[in-house]
Amino acid sequence: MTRSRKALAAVLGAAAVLAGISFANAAGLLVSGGSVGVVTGAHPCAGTASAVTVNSQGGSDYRGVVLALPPGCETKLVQLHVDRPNTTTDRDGSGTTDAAGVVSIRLNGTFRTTAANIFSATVDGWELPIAWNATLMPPIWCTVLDSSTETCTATVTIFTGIKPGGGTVATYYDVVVTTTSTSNVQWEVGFYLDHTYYGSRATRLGNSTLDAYNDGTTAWNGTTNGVTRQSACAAIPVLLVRGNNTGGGNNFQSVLNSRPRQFSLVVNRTEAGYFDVISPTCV
Amino acid sequence: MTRPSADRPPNPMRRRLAAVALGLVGVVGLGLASASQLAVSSGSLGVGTAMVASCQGAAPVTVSFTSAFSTGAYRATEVKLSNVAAACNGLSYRLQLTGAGGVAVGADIAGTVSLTAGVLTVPIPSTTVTSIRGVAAVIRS
Repeated sequence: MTRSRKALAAVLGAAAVLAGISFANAAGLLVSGGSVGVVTGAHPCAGTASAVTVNSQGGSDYRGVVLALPPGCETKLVQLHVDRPNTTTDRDGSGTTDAAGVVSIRLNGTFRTTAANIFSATVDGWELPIAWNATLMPPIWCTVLDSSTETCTATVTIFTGIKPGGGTVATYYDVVVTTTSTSNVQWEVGFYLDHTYYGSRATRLGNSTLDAYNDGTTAWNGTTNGVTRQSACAAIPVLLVRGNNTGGGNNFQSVLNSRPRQFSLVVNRTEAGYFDVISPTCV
Repeated sequence: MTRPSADRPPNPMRRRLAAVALGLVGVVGLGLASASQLAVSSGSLGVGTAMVASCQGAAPVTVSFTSAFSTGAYRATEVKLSNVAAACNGLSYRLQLTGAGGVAVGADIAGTVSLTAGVLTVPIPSTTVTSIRGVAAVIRS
């Protein structure tokens, strides 16, 4: 074979190899000459969701879980399953995350967070790992206790100053609870006291309704406490409170679309009566 | 060794070599261009959704699953591609679930795009959601 024929053979060989490689790339994408599109999809919010038990039913039994998902999972369907190997009945529930990526799920029965129970979750059908912490929790959230379909919303505003009827400057967590429900639903508000919104974790929180003032809006009753702590002291920095069962037909423990509920917790006051929700010894 | 004179006619073999080289450039260029037009970067594989399609335009497609808890695990039985453009309706698709490291999970699935309110629903064999890390699909004419 002459030198030039050898060169031609080499070029042809290289052409065959390179052409094969380049088309193999395209073939790997399942592409043919008529291809018009490639779609790739991945988890909308890769990471681990924070989970907090809510709606205690007494003892170690709970009925609900609040999940805070990583960014990217706002307004997504979340499914939760509790596999209870020691019983014949598992628990299930689902809900849709809000604009902050938080969802409160009421399960179809009570459960415990014991090691034997296995919790599984999905978001939009993708696997959702969960951890029992409040890392991703917002400063405040709301859970409906007696419905798996209705929701409620809680907002908190920090006020520092002198309230009507008060005589000294104090800091308050002013909370408003709302719902779109057209029938009364029982509410439970959760606080993540280590959230940066609060600056630092409160060591004392008390119903400011013990103050002399009662404006009928920001406090429930002049001398009756508005809320009672539901969570264990050990759960702090998570704090769960419920409206008290007072008011008869206009019961403070329930909220209606036309009847928001408001309460106010005074922060870090040492005077007697102003740390009935939490105190350094968590009374 | 004698050097070729300037007025010497070109060597036919050189002409062939030149032609082959040009052809090589063209073939490789076409192949690589084909791949590059359809290429999805590793970044887009890792986060969110990417779509390169003349029928779709730049609108993002959302991928979700229909899943339910069964025999000890959540299992997916459908893939849903949402916000698919109407222009893709009636075209062919192929879809592949991927797991950790981009490894294929199960066989690829072929069908015709049939949209309901912009959603393409693709039934898949029951697959544990923990094994699914991504979805790759091609819509083609």
